Amino acid sequence: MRKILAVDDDAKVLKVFESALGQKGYQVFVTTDPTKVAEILNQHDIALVMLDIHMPKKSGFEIFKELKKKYQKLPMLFITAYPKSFSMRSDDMVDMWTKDFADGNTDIVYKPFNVDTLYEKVAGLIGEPDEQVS
Amino acid sequence: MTLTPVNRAEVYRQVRVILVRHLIDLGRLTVLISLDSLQIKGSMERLPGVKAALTPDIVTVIFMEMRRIPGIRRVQTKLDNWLQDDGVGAWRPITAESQKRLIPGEPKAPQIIEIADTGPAESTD
Repeated sequence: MRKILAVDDDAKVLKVFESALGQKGYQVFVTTDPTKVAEILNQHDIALVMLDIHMPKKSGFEIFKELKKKYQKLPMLFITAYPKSFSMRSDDMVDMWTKDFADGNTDIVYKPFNVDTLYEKVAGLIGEPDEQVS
Repeated sequence: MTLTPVNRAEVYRQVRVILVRHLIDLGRLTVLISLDSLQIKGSMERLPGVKAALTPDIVTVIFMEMRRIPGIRRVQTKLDNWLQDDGVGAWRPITAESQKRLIPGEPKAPQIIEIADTGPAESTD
């Protein structure tokens, strides 16, 4: 069973992820605390990390960059209501997009989203819940 | 050639590589693979803040690159903002004018780009 870690400061959003993706057969771990991400990744064989961007303790982009250093091929999915978060007017974003996104292991979902879109994006990154991909 | 789960994951990844390289906003599109067919849905747009406009030529190149992905024989599109008149011509952005020319009540059919079968598909065994 493929395992997903979802990180968002909004517990209600995490419940939606747990329910929607859990029903499809994925095992979903959730946390509102970005500082717990490393610990969860150490304890479980996580296939995908879903990241909110705007969080008070640490942004999704900071977590993304940290994880990219240690887990280069780990698929990650950004979930945000703010498409302008990916504005290429920022040098940091240009750098991140052209280097870290270039391997094709990252995707984006904009809120509000429907559950089918979420599922398509997740399956596009890590396959169906029980598929042998790697 | 039927795509295996490993092939499918790789095809999805290669599609994202192409879109990222062309500075396309991933959040505006979804990709589905069915057998040897790729379906692209949504809006094909550049990321916010990208100065270079997305032109018909670049859209053509993007889909040409997708057609070259091993295992893909057909690219089907359901785009909100780009149209290919007869399925083989140049792409053009959908404007208010082009919307008016569509027959009222007629649903927009998905655009299907067929690929000529030029030989045996690449083996994945």
